[in-house]
Amino acid sequence: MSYDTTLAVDFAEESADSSLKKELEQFASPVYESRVFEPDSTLETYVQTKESPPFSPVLSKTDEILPQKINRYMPKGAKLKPESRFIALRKWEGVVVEVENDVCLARIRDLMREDEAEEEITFPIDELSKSDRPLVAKGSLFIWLIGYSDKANGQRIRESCFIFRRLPSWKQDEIDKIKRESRPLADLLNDEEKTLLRP
Amino acid sequence: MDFELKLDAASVVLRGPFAPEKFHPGWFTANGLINPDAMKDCKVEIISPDISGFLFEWVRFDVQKDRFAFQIKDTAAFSELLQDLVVGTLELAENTQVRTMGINRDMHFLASSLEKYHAIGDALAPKDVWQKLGLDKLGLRSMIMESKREAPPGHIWTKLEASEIFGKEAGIRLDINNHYENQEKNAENIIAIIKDRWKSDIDRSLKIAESLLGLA
Repeated sequence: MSYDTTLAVDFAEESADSSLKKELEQFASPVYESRVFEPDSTLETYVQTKESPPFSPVLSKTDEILPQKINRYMPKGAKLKPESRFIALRKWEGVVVEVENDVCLARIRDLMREDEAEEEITFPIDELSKSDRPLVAKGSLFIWLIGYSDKANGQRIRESCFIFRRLPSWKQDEIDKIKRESRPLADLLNDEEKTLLRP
Repeated sequence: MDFELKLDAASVVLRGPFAPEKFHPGWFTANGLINPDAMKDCKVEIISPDISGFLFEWVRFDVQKDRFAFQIKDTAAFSELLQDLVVGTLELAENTQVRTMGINRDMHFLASSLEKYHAIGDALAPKDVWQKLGLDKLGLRSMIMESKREAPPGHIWTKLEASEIFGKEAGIRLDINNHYENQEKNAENIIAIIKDRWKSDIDRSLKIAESLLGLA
């Protein structure tokens, strides 16, 4: 039977049980190598089999952001957290309604004040980063942020930026499914209305 | 204001298996999940068959053989972009199995005074029980409250502890883990959960934190 001991050691490191940690460490070196061993009564509580049912507290943990394992691989002096940060003061979600002469007309909704009514805005495509410009099309979604950008050197800059959402494209089977499901609705349209449908 | 939110990070943790060497900065930009302009600010810590670690200006990646973590440090600004990134990654990484997922929000609040800081511990863990045991100079270091969820199966862990990022000033960390079990192990199920529950999980996490700190 196979046991993942590395996670169990991490668990023991988090707890104050140093004897358990010592006992587990002999099964878990080097860090990423799993060993095979027979269970004993001390370890049973903490070490779960890979074939365990879903509710195994050790192997299924999803709450740790920075596991201690990462530290062992970090170059000396490297920082774990990115140094700059952005503090949002206002935030809107927008959808492009029209693009004409390199100007976007968009409808926006305030994400920080949800009781505010939708508004329409226009902005030049020049406001966008070059690699975001190909994403601009009727129906594209974006986030508009106004806030403070705190730089690593301590400088604070007030910024306004449009970030276009990089949603995965539709798969053909998803498109086919939607077409199949919408066919009964399309049949309700008269001939003139049907001419307006895209093929 | 008794408590000021100073660090508002969020993460998604997936439990795999995964192939860390497959996930490198170029994979994310080539597949259109990260703006290619962001490559100039990308910092690579390690890319190997066992572990990949790198960060762009707004998002950090840690990929291990059994664990895939995406982390942002400015949730209010980039929450939706993180959602798109995780969904896009799962859709593009075909045949990926995901056993469990956590949608986490990790918040550090600076207390306006030591009294307010202790008031939270006193409200959540009254000291009289401990004082009767002859213990004194008591202080709550950490606690986790679990709320089980039937559908989709999983739980919410609310972890409260003393924050260590403020040096000598007092602060409280609230780390909310919205945990999902995925018995089918298929990524489609996880994608559906993210699309359905992302906003409510992220928003509720902040509300839980603010409500608890309101006890002071």
